[in-house]
Amino acid sequence: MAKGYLALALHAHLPFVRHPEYEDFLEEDWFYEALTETYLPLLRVFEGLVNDNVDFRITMTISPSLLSMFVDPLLQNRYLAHIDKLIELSYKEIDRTRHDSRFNHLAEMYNRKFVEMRALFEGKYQRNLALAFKKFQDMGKLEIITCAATHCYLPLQEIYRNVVRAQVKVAAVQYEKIFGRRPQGIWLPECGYQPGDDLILRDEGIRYFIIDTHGILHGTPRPKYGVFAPVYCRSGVAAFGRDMESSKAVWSAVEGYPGDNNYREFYRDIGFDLDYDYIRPYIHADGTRIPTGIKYFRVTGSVDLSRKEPYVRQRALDKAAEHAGNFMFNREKQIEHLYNYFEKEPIIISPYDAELLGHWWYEGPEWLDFMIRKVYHDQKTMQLTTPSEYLDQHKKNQVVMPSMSSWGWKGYSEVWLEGSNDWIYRHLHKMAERMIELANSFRSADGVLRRALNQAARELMLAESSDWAFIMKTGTCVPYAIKRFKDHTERFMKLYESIRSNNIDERFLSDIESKDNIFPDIDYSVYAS
Amino acid sequence: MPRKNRKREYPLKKRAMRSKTDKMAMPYPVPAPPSASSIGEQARIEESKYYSGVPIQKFEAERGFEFPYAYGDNRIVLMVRDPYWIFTYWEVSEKKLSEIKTHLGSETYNKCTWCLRVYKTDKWEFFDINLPAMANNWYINVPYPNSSYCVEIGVKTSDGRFIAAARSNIVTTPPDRMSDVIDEEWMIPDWERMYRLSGGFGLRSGSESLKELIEKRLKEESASGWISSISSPMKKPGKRPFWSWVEAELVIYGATEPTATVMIDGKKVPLRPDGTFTLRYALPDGQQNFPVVATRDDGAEKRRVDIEVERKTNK
Repeated sequence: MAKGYLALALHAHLPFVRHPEYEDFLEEDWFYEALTETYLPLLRVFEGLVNDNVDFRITMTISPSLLSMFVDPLLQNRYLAHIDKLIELSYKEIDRTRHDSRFNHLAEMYNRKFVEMRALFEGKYQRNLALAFKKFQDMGKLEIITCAATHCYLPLQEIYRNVVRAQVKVAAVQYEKIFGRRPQGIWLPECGYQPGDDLILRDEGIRYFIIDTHGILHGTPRPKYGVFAPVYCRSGVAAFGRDMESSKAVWSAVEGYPGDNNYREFYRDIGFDLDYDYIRPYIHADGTRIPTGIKYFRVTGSVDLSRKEPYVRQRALDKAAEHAGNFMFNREKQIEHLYNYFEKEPIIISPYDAELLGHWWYEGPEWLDFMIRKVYHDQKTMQLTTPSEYLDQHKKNQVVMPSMSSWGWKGYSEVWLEGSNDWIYRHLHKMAERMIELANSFRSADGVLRRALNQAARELMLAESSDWAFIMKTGTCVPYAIKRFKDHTERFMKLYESIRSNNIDERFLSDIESKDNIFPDIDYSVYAS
Repeated sequence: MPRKNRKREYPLKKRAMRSKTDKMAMPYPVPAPPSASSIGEQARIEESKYYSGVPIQKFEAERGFEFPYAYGDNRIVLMVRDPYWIFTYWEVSEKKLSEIKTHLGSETYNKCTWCLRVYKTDKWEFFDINLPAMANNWYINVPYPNSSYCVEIGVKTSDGRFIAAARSNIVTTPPDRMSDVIDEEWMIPDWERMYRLSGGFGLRSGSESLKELIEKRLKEESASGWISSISSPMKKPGKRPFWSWVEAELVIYGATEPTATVMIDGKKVPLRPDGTFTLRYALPDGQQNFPVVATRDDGAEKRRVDIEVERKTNK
């Protein structure tokens, strides 16, 4: 009998980036890179575990915007073109490095990986990763949870409950359509929780959400078991709190695994290193150097990028195995300690960004693989579980109102509400007000009017992605975030005016329907009061 | 008339309410040195999702859309940032403005100051913040976590009368510590210990308890302002030390009959339609031999050239 539980939660999300109006669009690479480095490698890990009869439980968000990209034919085709180019480059690299023993086997490693990922994508999964992940959910190994429709940071939408409701409802509808069942759980974007939002979750039949440590610890009344047991909000929806120790092991640069000197360095890439004429066909179409995904160096230490040392694959894999063992050992100690103290089985919730594994931390998927195998074979202290499985077995929990919180920097809303991005809320709230007004005045619309109302809802949701505010704050590709916020605002405002003046420009409408084609089944009436 | 959209320009000096939290009040945005706190590290990793290696990109303005400077409303909205800070934005309509002017008379009005009146809603105690001209949003430092607030935007006459133009929604700040409410039925005696345990044993070796960690996060002392400073390390502005690196490659090129076969080092080389070819190799230190063999399409004739290259790098 295990003394406790471990629930690993991976949050996979990317904003909806799809630009049919351009041949080659830089920010679409976020998706293609994550496919090659994170989503497909994770699926390969799951395949391997199932083939070897290793039982496992993982909880994974697939955000509705990411899910929309998984099923989009344009992006699927573009990914094939993208990976084909990479494969071509990797063959050239094998040739180019054949007398350089430091890099030649790495070129071969990338080549094998790209070829394999392409085969998984095109062959095994028929380009549709939503169905690939669904397969593991249907086997009972993976629990896929939903997220707010466009990853809207909900606490800053407090004044418009309809916005929160629409974000949750549209997500749940899409989930049901693709996965054939209702979502059991939700990842609140950035773990942003505002007391009362759980009522909206309850109305959609969602049983639980995940929240940062202090959201539980600062709850009212005090939680008896801290973050090591879920609590119920008054609504009956359960909140699971993040465990800080296991979090730190992976997230922290100082104490965390990904910073190890043997792991692959993220920022040093042949797209920047190699001779321009040679690399030109594989960088951005306009000739700007960008990362290709082929990276030959390791973290090395805190040295300048130019002083990094060559990556040694075997050493990195040995490290990943060592870190997997260390993670397991620490969880065992933690669980034993808690078990003795509580006299009941604790549950440890370890949530990570999925893209951390593979994209940022290249060896992350291998670490996960090693760790799950070790947990299965080498110990009896803990058992992997998912929040809903845990709730099925432990129905009685304390009633606590969690406190408003997020997992962002400093724990509240500052990342999304500060000098660089606070100006957006004036416009976001105005759009929300207008959308609600439209939904209330057109109780049933059809034809072009209905299309315009639905598109207005899409534009509002796309403007609400927390990614834009986050990017404005962190300073990476700010012009793109501003462009997106501006485009969706402009499109929304134009639709609003044209609906109000009964003068809908059908050509304009068709054009933006084809660009911003997220949630084809959206029903604008979710905004009605 | 406080209306102009100031967007990212902040008045440097902000008057915060006098309170025990006063020492935390600081100009905004906060410049802080880079720090490797785990909280900041998380954002750095999240940020890598959006990394495209091109720090500055320009987009053509689509049809020249500009965000409206005001919507013609008369409203003020209040939002929560954290236990100690709330944020408000507002606009005052022309209509409301002329009502106020009429009510006060233009002579009195001209001597008025625009201000925010911040209420703590349990007893409706308040304090005022005088606004500079043109402000249309403000961060307000509030003294009590876990409390409800509401604000009014209005004018204050020289003799201290306050005329509100608009009142906001009510918001509640989150608590910054454990609740004082202890559920009788569930209570266990050692709460401090529980709290420590939840802080994780990762902190056990050392230095910080979760309580301290959370307090730090909230009190901005561990503020890792690096979030805004990290973009691509390729383009770190400012104090980057001098750096350089050199690599060497070898280019072998030539031409033959377009139908011929060319092998270099035993490997077939693709020919361009005109029969030319180019290959490039990374060139490590040491001696390399590249035998190049061209064979006619009928196999009747062969030419062989051997290229020997030696690289020696002296640092």
